[in-house]
Amino acid sequence: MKPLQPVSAPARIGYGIAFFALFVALWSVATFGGYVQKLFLADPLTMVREGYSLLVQYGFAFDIGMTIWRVVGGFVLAVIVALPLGIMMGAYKRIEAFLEPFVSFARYLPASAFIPLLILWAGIGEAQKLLVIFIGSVFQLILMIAVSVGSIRRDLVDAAYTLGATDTSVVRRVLLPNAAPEIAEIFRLVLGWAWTYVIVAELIGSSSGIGHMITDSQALLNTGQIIFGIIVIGLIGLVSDFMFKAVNQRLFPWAQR
Amino acid sequence: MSKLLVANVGKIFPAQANGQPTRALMPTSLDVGDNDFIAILGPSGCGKSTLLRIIGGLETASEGKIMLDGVPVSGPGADRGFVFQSYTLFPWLTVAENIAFGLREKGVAERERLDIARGWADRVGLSSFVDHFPKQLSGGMQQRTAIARALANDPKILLLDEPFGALDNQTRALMQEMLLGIWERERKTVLFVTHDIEEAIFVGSRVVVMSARPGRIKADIAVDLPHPRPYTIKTSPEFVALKERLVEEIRSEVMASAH
Ligand SMILES: Nc1ncnc2c1ncn2[C@@H]1O[C@H](COP(=O)(O)OP(=O)(O)OP(=O)(O)O)[C@@H](O)[C@H]1O
Ligand SMILES: [Mg+2]
Repeated sequence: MKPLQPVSAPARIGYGIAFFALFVALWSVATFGGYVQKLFLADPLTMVREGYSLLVQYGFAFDIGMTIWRVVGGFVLAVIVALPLGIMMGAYKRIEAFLEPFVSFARYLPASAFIPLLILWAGIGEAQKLLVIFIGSVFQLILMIAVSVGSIRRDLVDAAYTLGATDTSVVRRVLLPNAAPEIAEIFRLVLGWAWTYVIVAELIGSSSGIGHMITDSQALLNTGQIIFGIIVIGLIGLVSDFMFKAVNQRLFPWAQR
Repeated sequence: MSKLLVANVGKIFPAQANGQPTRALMPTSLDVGDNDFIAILGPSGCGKSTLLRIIGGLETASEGKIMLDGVPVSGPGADRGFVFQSYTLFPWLTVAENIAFGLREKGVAERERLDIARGWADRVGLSSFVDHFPKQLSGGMQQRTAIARALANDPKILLLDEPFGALDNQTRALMQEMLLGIWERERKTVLFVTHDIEEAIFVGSRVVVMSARPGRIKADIAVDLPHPRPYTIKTSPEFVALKERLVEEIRSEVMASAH
């Protein structure tokens, strides 16, 4: 194999699927072969059967919907706050000097550790779930957006000024479009992290959602259902990733390698 | 009256951590007439870019002042078009949108600015590339677009900092002819920085030679070659004689800076 040699699109999909197949094969060998007790790890067929009954009998689709709504809701709130702040910090060094130290500090506060506090403040309703996602993503978003807005080639800014650009149009017409593809990429990344927070929030004090189903199944020692829940999360992540990538490619053709 | 007046402009860069301040440019004076094409020639590091960036308003002078049409210059502005040595097209804009960037800043309506942009794309030979993104262009095409972008703004003076420095010899020769053609037709005032002697003589109506660092103007030589100048002029006796003279001037400077 040559380093960095490209792979054709069909081959790429083939390889990707091959590893999934390999993964399922190993799992089958471990479970059907009796190497792992059923109590600890359900086999793939049981998992599919449990998943099916979850969906048709127990209304699991509703839980999935709830979880997606929480992630998207909390994430959108975080974006609404982070986008203007991040842009201001990236563009204006004075604002960065003012906010950056605090945001850097807040970024390390673990969102899951806030859950008990948030339950106290907001109860165990939807507001608490959204807040966990919000706290988990907003500081990351602010910092990453600020860095991407601020990392512009100096000579592009110089060029804009010599073409008569004002300070605000340098921000609007140079810094922003320059950072846009990276900001879209940041959204994709942080949305992925938001998924991990929502499950944690749902594990504690919740009556719906994928995380809630997983805690219920644990009480019943139903590993098939737990694994099904985890795989659903993975699949949703995969789909949202694909959607983000497709949209980014359409929106920013100039940034594609 | 002179178009551009550079009066005793010098530059000292402040000291970096535990260093000395750098004197990049000795106080320098230059009087540029309307429609002049001045080639600024000098060894690397002598302060050519610094001088041009001060005129462009991208750097502040430590001393002296600059007047454009009798008005002191402070900060960058659309009246001084700038073409950089590095490729500075906006990657997210097409060729036409890049050329129209300054027009949009001026509030020209979309239809009109795209018409103007197309006109300029045509004049630099890129009419079939108006909808391409910069990454789809060769280096020469990018610099042609950058020149069109600066000119579309209709600046009072065009400042070019080694615009063809990164190009191969053949492309460079074509670009020189193109630039000269534009100047002959549009009669712009141009300051053109280069360290290529032949290039300076070919495009310039005056060649200003700068001394080694810290730079100052050492010689100011009129180039009385007729216009339009065909490429073949580079082998004429007058051209060769001028070139020899400049080679001597530069050689002594490079020797001086090597010590
Ligand atoms: N921002 C800066 N800070 C400190 N010193 C600088 C800065 N910019 C330039 N200099 C110094 O000023 C001197 C002149 O630089 P300048 O870029 O004007 O040279 P130049 O004639 O354009 O050279 P070249 O032909 O290599 O482009 C150099 O010695 C350089 O080290
Ligand atoms: Mg230079």
